[in-house]
Amino acid sequence: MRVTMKELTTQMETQLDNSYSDLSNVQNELSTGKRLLKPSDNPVDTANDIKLKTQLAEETQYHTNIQDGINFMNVSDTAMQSMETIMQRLRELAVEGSSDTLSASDRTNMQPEVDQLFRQLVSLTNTQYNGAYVFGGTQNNIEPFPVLSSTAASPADYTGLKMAYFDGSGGVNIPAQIKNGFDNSSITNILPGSFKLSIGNVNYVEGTDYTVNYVNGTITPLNAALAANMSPGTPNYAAGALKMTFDYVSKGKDVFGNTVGNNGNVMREIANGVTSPINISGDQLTVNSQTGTDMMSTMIAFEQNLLNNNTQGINTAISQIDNVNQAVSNSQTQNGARINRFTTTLTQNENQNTQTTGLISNLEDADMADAATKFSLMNTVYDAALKSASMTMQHSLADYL
Amino acid sequence: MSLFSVLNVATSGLSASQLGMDVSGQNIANADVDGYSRKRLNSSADYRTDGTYGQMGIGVDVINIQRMRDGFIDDQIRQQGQQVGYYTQVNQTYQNLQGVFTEPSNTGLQQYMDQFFDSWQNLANNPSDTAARTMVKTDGEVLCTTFNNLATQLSNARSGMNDQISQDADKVNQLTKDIFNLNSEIASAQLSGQNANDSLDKRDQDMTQLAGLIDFTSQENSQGEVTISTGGSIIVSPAYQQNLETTTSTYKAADGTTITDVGLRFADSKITYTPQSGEIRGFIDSRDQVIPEYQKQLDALANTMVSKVNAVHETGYDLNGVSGNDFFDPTTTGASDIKLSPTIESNVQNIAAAAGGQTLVAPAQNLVMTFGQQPPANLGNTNINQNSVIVKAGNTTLTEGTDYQVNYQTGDIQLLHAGYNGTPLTATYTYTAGSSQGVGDNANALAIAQLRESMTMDSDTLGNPTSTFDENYASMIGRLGEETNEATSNLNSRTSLVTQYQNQQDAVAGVSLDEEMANLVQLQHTYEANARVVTTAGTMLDSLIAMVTT
Repeated sequence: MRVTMKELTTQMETQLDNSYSDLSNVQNELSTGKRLLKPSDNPVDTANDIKLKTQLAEETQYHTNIQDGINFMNVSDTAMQSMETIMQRLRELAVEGSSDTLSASDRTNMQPEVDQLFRQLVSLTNTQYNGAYVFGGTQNNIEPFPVLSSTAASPADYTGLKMAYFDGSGGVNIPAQIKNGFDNSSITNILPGSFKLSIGNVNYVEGTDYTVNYVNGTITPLNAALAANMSPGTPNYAAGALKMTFDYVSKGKDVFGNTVGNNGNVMREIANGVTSPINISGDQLTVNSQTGTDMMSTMIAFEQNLLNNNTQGINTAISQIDNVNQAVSNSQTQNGARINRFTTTLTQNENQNTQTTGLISNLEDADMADAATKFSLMNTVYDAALKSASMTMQHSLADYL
Repeated sequence: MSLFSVLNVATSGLSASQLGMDVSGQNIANADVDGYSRKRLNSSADYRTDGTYGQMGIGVDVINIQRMRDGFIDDQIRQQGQQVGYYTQVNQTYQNLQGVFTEPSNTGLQQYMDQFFDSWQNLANNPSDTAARTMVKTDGEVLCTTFNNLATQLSNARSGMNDQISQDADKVNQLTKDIFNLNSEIASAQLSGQNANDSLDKRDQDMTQLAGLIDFTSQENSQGEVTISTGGSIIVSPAYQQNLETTTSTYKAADGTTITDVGLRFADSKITYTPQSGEIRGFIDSRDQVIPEYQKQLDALANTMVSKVNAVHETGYDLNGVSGNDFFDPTTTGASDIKLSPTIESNVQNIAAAAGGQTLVAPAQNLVMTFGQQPPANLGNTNINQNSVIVKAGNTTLTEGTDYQVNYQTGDIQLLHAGYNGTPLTATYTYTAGSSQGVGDNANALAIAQLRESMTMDSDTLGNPTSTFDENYASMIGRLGEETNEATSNLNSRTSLVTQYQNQQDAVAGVSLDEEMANLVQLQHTYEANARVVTTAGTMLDSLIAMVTT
């Protein structure tokens, strides 16, 4: 067979090209440590790789969500723990206060401590996690149980009715409801000891001139002079005449009519398609759903009974505190169960994550031992091709003539 | 028979050897020239018929210089060459597409889709946080930009094909002109009984180059002239050559931009021409099929992303309690112009993370309805929850659909049973209040984040989507890889076929230096021997002349 120089050269070039490109592929694999660099390297594996990467991104996100949820619930848990401790102390005080051996002044002297404990309870219901009020439902940018002050309002505040007022037209011994000037809603849960009333320059004395029902937010004038002065003018009183100062625990709406707190669920997605609420709503926390006992009114009634030396009322407070405590403790149990669930899911998530990472690595990463072996083999082949080419090309008949 | 005739015989031998040296020298000189075919000197013994001895040798007769080449193999090379030209371009296009999508990597579209949905999850964790909202917006913008860039790169790759087609048309014209000129050179040489070996080599090479560009059929006549036709028209004949010229056609793309495409036609007949194979067809197929396929899929992905995210986003409530906003610009027509809606661009507060829609229980309502009354009675609330309505007459519960019917959307209730005409009824139901549930409401952000795992793409015959965004994209990239492999392996197999044929041709037409060396030595010796014959004859003549003079 006739073999020409041209044929030999072309063949050598093709073969050298082939070995060199094989060599370069393996070299790429070795230097990047990756088996998949282009979709054409392995189309099926590339498609799977893309899906797995998304899965990994999701799992990583679920991990963040779960961790965040656990942190949120841990904050709630700590708050509820403290509330239970405070309520233990309040119960002790109620038991002590109901004792017949105590005098009226002893009971009155107990009120400031109860008030401080109650204010602590309220501030715990306004616990925040990362700027969100944990017991505020989905309306969690505003305190769910704000302690609002209606301070001595100036005549300018009559505009827009943004102050507390009452319609005192009823006369002596007829209660008048204190209302929110913004939307005419009733004000309740006034903190005992915080209430002051003056008309003109005259300070009226609670118990002598009027009485206040702190829970309902009603005022009863006890003498005709006050009753007359409390009669409405423009808009309700002679401008600048009446001043009312008090603190109250608001629920539902603040002075400007903003909604505070709701029973909405704050959700976290903790696994593909699995969402779970992480919050305890304000109602769930503060109201015993079976007996309907409310934490705020219970405590305020307790304080008022201490001030009024009402042993019967203080006695009632013991069972009411138990009821309220039950609500908090139920909430804490539910919260704890959710923490457990999240923790378990977190472990599953981490296992899953490890597995997915492993799968991606299997698809993407080069088998270094295999690649290195291939590399040295191809290196040898390339070397042999070069050597044989150079040796063949050197010779021609001309050398021997 | 004279002594001088020996001199003539030797002289013809000398000149034949010289000619042989010329041919070998030429072969050696062109040993590595592309397209060169080895030449061979054909000669035979020259003779005359003598009255006494019969045939008498009178030297060597040079018949011709023959070109060694196998025309059949050339045909095979050209046929496969068209395919090589075609698959070279198609393969190049697929390689470019792989470069455009840069998968698998951390900078491909998949990564940015993941980031986008992750940012919604983060927003769900902190629905009122401006930073989380800004992140949703930023990741949304990055996703849009990624789509835009991919679309731009694809359309650039596509329009680049038009330049290539024009350039190749010029190359075809240059080649056909050359072939036409070579045709006449060959014909005139052949007419005068000479060979046109080098012109034939040149023409063979031109035709092989032409085969890389377009498909054609060729026919050679007795004068050695070829006629080349393609697409049913003759582009080169002995008497005629016609150019290809470019035409342009424009159309509007989905996003409203005008696209100008280059087409080809025969310059004389003005008949539209589309090659069936070769490089030009590779460009045309890349432009009209390969790239548009991926543009279409990318557009579908972008459009579905826009419609699905918007559909969920519209139902949610933003920080100001406003519902019905779009997240992506609803005028989006595809990957090239996907962008965020102006509402979201202007203020991240307008991102609807909240689902709103609190379920409320309506207090029992007293109704007295008249049979057939128009307009019907109304429950007093809209968005009534399905199957929540209970209507009672005293202790009897009425049957919905038989006794009455409710329009859940408007709250209209109509009596269907004449027997309850004017009867006092009580109705209880729940309804969805369409207001925001506060800044902590993250249900809508979660719903959008969950779109990542929802079936949204690739509807089956019943119109139900069968894959997620990610699965759709993954299968598109998988397909790209498969098609690239297919193009590459097609190219490789055709290339190796051409190489094989080329080797066969080289075995016939290629110059073997060893062979030429041996020839040279042989010719050298022949020349020396012939010279010796002349010298010997000369000596003999000397002897003869000396004999006469003395």
